[in-house]
Amino acid sequence: MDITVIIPIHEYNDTVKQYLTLAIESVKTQQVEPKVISIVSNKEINDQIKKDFSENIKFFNNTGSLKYQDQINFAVSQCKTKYFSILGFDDTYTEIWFKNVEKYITHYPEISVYLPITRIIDINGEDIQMVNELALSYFVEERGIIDRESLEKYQDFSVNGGVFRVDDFLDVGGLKNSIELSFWYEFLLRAVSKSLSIMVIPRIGYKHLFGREGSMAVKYNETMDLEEKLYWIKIATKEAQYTKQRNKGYKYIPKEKK
Amino acid sequence: MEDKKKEKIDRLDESIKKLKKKDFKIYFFIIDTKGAPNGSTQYIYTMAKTLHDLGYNVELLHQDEDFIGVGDWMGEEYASLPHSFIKAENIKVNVRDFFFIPEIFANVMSQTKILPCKRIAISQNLNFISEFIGFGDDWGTYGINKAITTTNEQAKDIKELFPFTEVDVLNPSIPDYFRKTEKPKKLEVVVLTKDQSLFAKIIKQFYWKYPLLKWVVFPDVRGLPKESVAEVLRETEITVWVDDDTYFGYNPIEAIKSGSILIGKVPNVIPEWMYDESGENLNSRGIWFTDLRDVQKIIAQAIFWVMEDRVPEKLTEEMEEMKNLYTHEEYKQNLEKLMGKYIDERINELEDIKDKIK
Repeated sequence: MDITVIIPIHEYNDTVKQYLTLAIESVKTQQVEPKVISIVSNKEINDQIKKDFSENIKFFNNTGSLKYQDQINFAVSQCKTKYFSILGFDDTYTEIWFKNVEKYITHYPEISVYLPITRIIDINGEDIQMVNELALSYFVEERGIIDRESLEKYQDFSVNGGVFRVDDFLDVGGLKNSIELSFWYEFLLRAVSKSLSIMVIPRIGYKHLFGREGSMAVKYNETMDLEEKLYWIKIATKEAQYTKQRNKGYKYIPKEKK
Repeated sequence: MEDKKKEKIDRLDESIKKLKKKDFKIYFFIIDTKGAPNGSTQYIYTMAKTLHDLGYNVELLHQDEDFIGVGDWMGEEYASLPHSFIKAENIKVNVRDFFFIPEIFANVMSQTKILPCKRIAISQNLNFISEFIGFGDDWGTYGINKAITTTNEQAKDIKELFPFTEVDVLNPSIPDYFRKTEKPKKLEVVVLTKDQSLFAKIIKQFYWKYPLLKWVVFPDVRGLPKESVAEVLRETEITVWVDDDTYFGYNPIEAIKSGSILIGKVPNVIPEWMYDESGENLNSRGIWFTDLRDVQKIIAQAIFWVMEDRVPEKLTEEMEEMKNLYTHEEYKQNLEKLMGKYIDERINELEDIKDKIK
């Protein structure tokens, strides 16, 4: 399938290696295989990873920032395929995912982003919840399609494992590194305002690990209170009007410090 | 005396000639369902329309001054068949005509006893035969000795009740617009049941028992025209069906032909198509259950099967078999053959009458 799987890595150690093995395995056992599996990081880290994983993996050597948003923007700019999908190194696809995406692309080629239903699991592999299933319900106007109205009501749609059209991602302007936490939400808002279509496929396509020590999600959970989370959502809503990053240097200042 | 004999024989000859040229009427007595979809009515209209398409003169008779008809749910091509409002005792027919009377109209069977045409009962639900017939009466009392029914099982049952009745089986046809599509389906569940409170109960209890699946949509197809129902079934992954009293089961067949996974409660009389080749066990064309308390669990299971792409192959393979069953093409051929048989038999009867006159 004409798709590049992008695995962003910002550090490498035994723990990362352990999870990465499972992640890559989940790509290789797809019923329909992607054309390219890639890892994006700086050269130093990539060289370390190559010693353990070299077979059929493309390495994107990022000379810039290893911040998540920058990694993704860089990797997507290097893609030669029509579609890309981001795989967290500690996550896995289910084996049916790309087969189903391919089927939906055949019947709905106008869609720019295909999202899976994601199972969120804890470090013991136990289910915590499902996400994106809301888009299949009466919550949205056209069932299966995430539109502006549903994004305004609900900010937690997950793009993990989603399949994006490369050209559309770049046209929309990619991710903004000035936004913490809600950068994907901001991207989705920007995408729908440019009339891009986002569809949720009713298949469990991705398993996302929540609660791993050192993960971005855990970091946000531990360091951000509700006020800060609401702040970033507000920033995302504001910035979504602009294609280009405005380099505003947003920073949350707790109320008592103001 | 001889002149009168000759006149009768000439009239019979005339009728026989017209029978051979399809120059006669076929009447169907119908009830107005007031726009509510109904399998039995669908069967009769399908028969009338198919005969009409085969070149026969059909007419549907009713006794309802405020007749609404089937336009809304079966479509204009059925609603526009010739209809007449008439009281049974005022029907004017010819010896070469045919008159089909549904089993619920025992009163019409009685009132039309003296008519010269050939009268044939249409029986689709055995319960209706005994419900409307008077104590001490039977079809023989009304001069009915021929019947059409929808399944072999029903034919056997009718013969047990009325051994003197010749029963022909004409399996119903399912309209061609109940068909699959290659397009991906929506993960939604349609519930098909005549019982309105059961409809609500199945859905509400599902949401209570499975809050994790409270996002699942149950589209409501009640009151929709058949073609619209077909569209919904074509788009929907799962259909639940409950009808204890059916003898044939139009709805589940329509769902299966539309590619929707069927979760069906086994009715009191099990339709033939639900059995496997042995004729003793249920097949895997649907997921069958007997206890209503299990239905929500089965719905949840089916939803996860779909989400995880692990719907059993046996189920999908056997569903595919339904594609070639109860097609309109097969039905048309069977009906044409049956009508041909009735015409031939009628010609023979009239020839016999002629011989007796001579």
